[in-house]
Amino acid sequence: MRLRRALFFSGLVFILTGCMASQSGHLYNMKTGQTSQLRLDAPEYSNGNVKGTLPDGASCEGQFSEISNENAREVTSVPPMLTENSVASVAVMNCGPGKVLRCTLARRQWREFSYGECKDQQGTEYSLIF
Amino acid sequence: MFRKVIFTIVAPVLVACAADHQGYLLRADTGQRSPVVFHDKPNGKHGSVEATMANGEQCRGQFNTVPDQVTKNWESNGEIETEESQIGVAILKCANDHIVRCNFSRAHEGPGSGHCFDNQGQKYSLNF
Repeated sequence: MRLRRALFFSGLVFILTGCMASQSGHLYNMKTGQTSQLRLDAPEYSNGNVKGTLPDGASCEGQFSEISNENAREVTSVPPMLTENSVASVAVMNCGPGKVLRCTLARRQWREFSYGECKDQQGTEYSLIF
Repeated sequence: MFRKVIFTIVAPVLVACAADHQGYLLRADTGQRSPVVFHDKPNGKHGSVEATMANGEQCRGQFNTVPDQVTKNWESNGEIETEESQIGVAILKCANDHIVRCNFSRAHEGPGSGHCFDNQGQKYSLNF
């Protein structure tokens, strides 16, 4: 009886945390080496919200959505490494007046993100790893 | 009793599946070798990485991968059954905001190679 109850609660917790999952990644400024964090909601879905800060402290907020690998290579000047068995997404964030951060992300199908490449309007490059 | 059974089954599986891969970073201009270790999580898809640079600087970070060549199960909507090889990214943070970034390819949970660069203008080859 105790075992059954324990299994039930572990299953419930697993389902609830699975449904509400978010994923945090480390953002590295490739020039200064400074780091910060980005958090993506519902990372296993094709689109969702993304929030975080730039290494200089600016707050960012935006959305990500899935695109084809082909388009990911075309719309990004520094695309991350992609394969025919990976899935690409683009995230665009508003980081305050005149600051937009654009990221291209790679992941497994129906899974959380693996890594990404970002660039802001000033041309500063960032690497993202989950 | 139940706990003992679970521990006996799970512990060896976790230990057996988590793997370390030792290798080195080869600095392009000087040829200096720096040891690097990839610590795979049990799922063989991501993990932590550490290196000791030639000047003694300690670097730590993470790596993550996506599948490259795969075997698919066509009886199950072409789902990926096995990842034969992977490509990945590793980022290491060293002292004083020195960071090293690597792109690599590897056999699933196996050996691999790649190239790295840092924010001080240095380039490295990676083997593990």
